[in-house]
Amino acid sequence: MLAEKNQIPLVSVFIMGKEYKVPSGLTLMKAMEYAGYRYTRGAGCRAGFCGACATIYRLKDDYKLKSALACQTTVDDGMYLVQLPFTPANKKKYDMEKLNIAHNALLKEYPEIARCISCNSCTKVCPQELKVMDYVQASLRGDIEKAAILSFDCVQCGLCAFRCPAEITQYHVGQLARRLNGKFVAPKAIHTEEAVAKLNNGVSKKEISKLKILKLAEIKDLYKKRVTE
Amino acid sequence: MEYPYYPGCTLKTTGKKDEEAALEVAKLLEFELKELPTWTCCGVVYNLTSDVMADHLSATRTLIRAQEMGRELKTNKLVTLCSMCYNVLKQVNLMYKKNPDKLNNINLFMDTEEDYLGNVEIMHFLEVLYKDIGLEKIKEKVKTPLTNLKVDPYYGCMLLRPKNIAFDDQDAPHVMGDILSALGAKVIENPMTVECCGAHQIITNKEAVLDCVQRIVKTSQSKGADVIVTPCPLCQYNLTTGQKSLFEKGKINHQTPVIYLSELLIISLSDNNENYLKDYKFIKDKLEERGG
Repeated sequence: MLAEKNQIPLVSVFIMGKEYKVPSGLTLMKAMEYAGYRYTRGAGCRAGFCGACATIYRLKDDYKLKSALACQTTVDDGMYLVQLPFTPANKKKYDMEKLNIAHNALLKEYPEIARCISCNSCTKVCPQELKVMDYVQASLRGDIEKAAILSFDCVQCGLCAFRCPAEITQYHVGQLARRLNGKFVAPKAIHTEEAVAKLNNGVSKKEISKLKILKLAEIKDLYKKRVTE
Repeated sequence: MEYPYYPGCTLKTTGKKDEEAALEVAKLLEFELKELPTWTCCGVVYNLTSDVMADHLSATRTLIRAQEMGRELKTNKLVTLCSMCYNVLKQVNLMYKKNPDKLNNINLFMDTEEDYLGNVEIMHFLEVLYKDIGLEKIKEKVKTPLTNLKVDPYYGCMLLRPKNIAFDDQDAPHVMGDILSALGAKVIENPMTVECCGAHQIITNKEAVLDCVQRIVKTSQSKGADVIVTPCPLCQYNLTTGQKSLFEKGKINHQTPVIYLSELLIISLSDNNENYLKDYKFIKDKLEERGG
């Protein structure tokens, strides 16, 4: 094997209980591919942004089940792991036009947040290291802005919902908080509205029609010569 | 003096008025309530089942936050405005004082927190006014005496029951009355003052709440109260909405306004009380009418 030839030390990992020898330093995702698994689901951006590769693992001689994104964590000798490509959690259907930011706006859509006992399991499991419990608590008391800010970096991997003893789907609650915050609380992006209005008024029409009739090589050439900031 | 302060969810939603007024009252009486930087729900109800520890996690986290802020402010006190939060936090705290093994268990479970050492003292705002600030100082600060305003101080249960959490006489509490007297008000003695308002029954059994409210309010009205004051957001809500229903059903002749003690304090202590007097015109009228 390539790794052996290059003398990269091998480590043992147990994927769903079966042992594989893989080169050290690989991410969990690459280790699974090295072991022969092929991803058709459960791998998206491979850069820690999409949240598709939630993984549960345990280190040798440790009793704790830990979690990570498979594309962001490297293998450890004796590691046990399984990937959870999808969380079948309930997501409410709502019409943003009909919602408001009353103090019980989030509670109405997701009443189970009132069952939070502040055990902090969600915060402990979050691969993004978000303060999940704190944003659930902020949601409970109608602090939509705080819930939106605290959950901003959520990648919707769903691990929090797996761990929650109160059966809350934290990541969906956070998403609704961010949507409400964007629509009702945060300042409007006036520059975007202005830019869209300009486009609608045909500000770039001439340039686009010019591009449309160019040959591929000419477009490539233009791209290379473009002025950037 | 700066106190670590725990608002609780209600004070940020339906009980906002109480918080606004109380923070202002604190300033007028030369102390400050500093909100804990992060906090969770108190747990809402103290779970009496002796081996269910998970329900105490919420309160314990808040006690740890108070312990942290207390180090900075050099105090072991934590002030609450909501009677329900006061009750839960104080009962959980006392449970740990009695059962160090349980404190140890919960500390082991909460492995992302510093250990709770069991030394925080839970105080209700009313208790701070009475014990730490004192009636003399309150009297000194009165700008508008509430002369001849007939006030019924309504306690409800959460500040007084069970006995080990009460900071006032359980059967004949006097702290709120003493404070109101210091403001110059005429304090009504309502034998129903420690009766329950119906509490969370409002969600599942509104009729039960209406029964409670009717008894409390009828006695208050027969004693001629102009206004009922309460320190508890849930009592305030039940007594207000309950009276509205009772009035619509013709079970009471009129509705007595129910306001927070903190609001009445502002009216009496602040130079800047026009907004409150505008909202509660009946108080302004009564004070003028009776030469206050």
